[in-house]
Amino acid sequence: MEYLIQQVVNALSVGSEYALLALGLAIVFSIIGLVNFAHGELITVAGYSIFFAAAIYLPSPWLALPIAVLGAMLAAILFERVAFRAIRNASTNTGILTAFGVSIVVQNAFVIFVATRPKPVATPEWLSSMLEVGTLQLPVLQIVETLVTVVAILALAVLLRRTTIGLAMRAAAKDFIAVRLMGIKANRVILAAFAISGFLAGLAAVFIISRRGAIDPFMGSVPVLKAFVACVLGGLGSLQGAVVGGIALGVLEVLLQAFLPREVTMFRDAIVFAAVAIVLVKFPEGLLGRKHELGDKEA
Amino acid sequence: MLELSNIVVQYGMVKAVRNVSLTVGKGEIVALLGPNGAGKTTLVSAAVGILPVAAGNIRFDGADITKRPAESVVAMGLTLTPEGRRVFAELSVADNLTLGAATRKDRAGVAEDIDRYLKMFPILGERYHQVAKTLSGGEQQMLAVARSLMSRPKLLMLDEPSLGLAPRIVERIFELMIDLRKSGLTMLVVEQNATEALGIADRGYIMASGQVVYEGNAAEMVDSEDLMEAYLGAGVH
Ligand SMILES: Nc1ncnc2c1ncn2[C@@H]1O[C@H](COP(=O)(O)OP(=O)(O)OP(=O)(O)O)[C@@H](O)[C@H]1O
Ligand SMILES: [Mg+2]
Repeated sequence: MEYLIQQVVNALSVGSEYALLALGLAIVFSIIGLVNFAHGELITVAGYSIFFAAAIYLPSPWLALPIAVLGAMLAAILFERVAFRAIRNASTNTGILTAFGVSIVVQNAFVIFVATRPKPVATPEWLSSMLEVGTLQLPVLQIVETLVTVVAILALAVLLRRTTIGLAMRAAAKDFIAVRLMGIKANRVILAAFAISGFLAGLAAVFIISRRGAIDPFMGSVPVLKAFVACVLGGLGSLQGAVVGGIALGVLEVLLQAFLPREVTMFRDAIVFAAVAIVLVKFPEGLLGRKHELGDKEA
Repeated sequence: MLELSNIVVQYGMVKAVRNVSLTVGKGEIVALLGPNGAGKTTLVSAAVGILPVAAGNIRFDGADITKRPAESVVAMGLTLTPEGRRVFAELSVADNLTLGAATRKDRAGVAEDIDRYLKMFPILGERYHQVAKTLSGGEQQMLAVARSLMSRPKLLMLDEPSLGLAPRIVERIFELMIDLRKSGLTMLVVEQNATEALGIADRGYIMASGQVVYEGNAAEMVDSEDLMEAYLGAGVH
């Protein structure tokens, strides 16, 4: 019983991590049709932001949290300004290649200017402590990660429903030209999408880094792949889909890891991806994906 | 108020608008007519800045707006209710109107305008919290016009506002344009219903194959059966 509860808490936290990352990918994709494979590097930048801050002056490990989030947000905005803005109207392939380009440049910048070796970074100790509930021991990190994700998703939902920029982002996902005809600047909408994707990646980064205790230039590669799979599973471009896909993927992974016989656990990822493939055969648009509805364009 | 001079617009190598000049004076209703594919939508899209012009010059309210993007043109008071309405299908009527007022800071004025347009289009009030895709075609057109008006434009371009609507609704749309003119709005109306459009317009232009082939006084144009026959064919009733 205890084992089950521990695994459920673990599954929710891993699912939350994927959901945060997938949501960031999805919000950018929904608006400009770009699959930002450099999204993983936002995590890396968040990690190195803490590392650099600690090298200069970091009076309290608490400060690592806002620094990571801020670092990822600034990096997301910078990627847009420097790389993606120039190719905004180009084809999907150009977008994907540019994103890989950004990703390679960032990874190698850290290789050249810091090191390939992992570097230890400190996050607040309480994050790595255990919470005791009766006889049950639960990692604080996993509980906080799930709670933070729930709050972040609710906050995003309010932003998308209640603010002009949020409404504009939802509208732009369907018809960007009509949004511009409202006098709303395209650059502002896109910048907001990148800033949000950076914010969410920064949150995820805090937890990823606390788990690992160290950073390295390639630490973003696996998470971005998982996030991409989560997006496809949920329905590419659908925000609800990204959340559902992320949680489903995380839960599936953890439960397979926990309950498969030991000899098979090494095939966990293969089993997960096979399951995803089967889902996609049944729902080619993803779990929550729908064919694009463009409204009443042709009368 | 709006002066298009020698405008050329291309899609790739294809010139969809060739050397078109057109003016709209303050307080006028100008009708822009022509068969399918004549380049009307292309021209108004370029005027509002969602398509780039390859050559020519656009002036609005005394300023050169040739190179300005749509968001800045709309903020200056020139806006377009696009062909096919293009309401935000997944958003509520209320949110559509809110986005229409995105350029404005005066919250009180925005609330007043919403009240005004809900009175002008009672159906939008009834459907205020419904998502726009559940509205009928005619209701969506009302919403599209109200949404454009929320930015308080000085000049409104309407691209085929009556397209695909029942005769009764079409009539309602034309009455609406007359009312809007009384309230001081200048309009450029792209229409297939040539006779009705010329009936409310001061002047008219006819485009064919990317060029203006006729311009004149609206009343005279309606009376000239030859003209209507020659350029508009099926458009005449
Ligand atoms: N996106 C596009 N790419 C290439 N060619 C286009 C594009 N849009 C329009 N065209 C072409 O440009 C020409 C003018 O089209 P436009 O839509 O401006 O005509 P229109 O007068 O508005 O016609 P309609 O009355 O059918 O709305 C047509 O030949 C059309 O095929
Ligand atoms: Mg047209």
